[in-house]
Amino acid sequence: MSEDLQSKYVIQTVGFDARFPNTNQTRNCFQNYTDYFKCITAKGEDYAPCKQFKKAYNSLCPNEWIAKWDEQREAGTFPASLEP
Amino acid sequence: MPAPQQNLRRSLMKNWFAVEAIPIYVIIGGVVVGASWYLGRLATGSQVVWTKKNPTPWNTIKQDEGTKLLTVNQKFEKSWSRDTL
Repeated sequence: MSEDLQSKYVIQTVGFDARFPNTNQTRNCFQNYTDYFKCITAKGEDYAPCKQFKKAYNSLCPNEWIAKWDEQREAGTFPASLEP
Repeated sequence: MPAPQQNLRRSLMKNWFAVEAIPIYVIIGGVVVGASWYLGRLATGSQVVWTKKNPTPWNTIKQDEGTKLLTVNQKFEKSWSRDTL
């Protein structure tokens, strides 16, 4: 039973990023979020390497922030530029 | 007999700094140098944005470069330096 579960779920997190070596990973979270949407705009939704940014920001960012930023994007009030 | 102005100048040259206060000057000088070095180090850090031409300086850090002054149990091959303001 546990072997089945282990084969279904790979436990993994974001690797070390030298741009953000300290405990405060806020900027890492925000960078990955904006990079994902810039990647989508530039390469399209089905481009597989963009998924890496999505996994990263889903691991790093608090869900409240992701929800808030998604709302801001819908409303057009997102504070950073999402142009590639 | 030297003129009064020359006497004044000579005594000024002899007394313009207090010899007994040299340790204070040394310590204060060291503190000023250290503080300005650290302030310069903070100002050229990767998390500081100075101009619109360089909005994300942290994106120039490569994976083997470190920005820290002291590390424990971590080894970086090179240390990052800011290339543009």
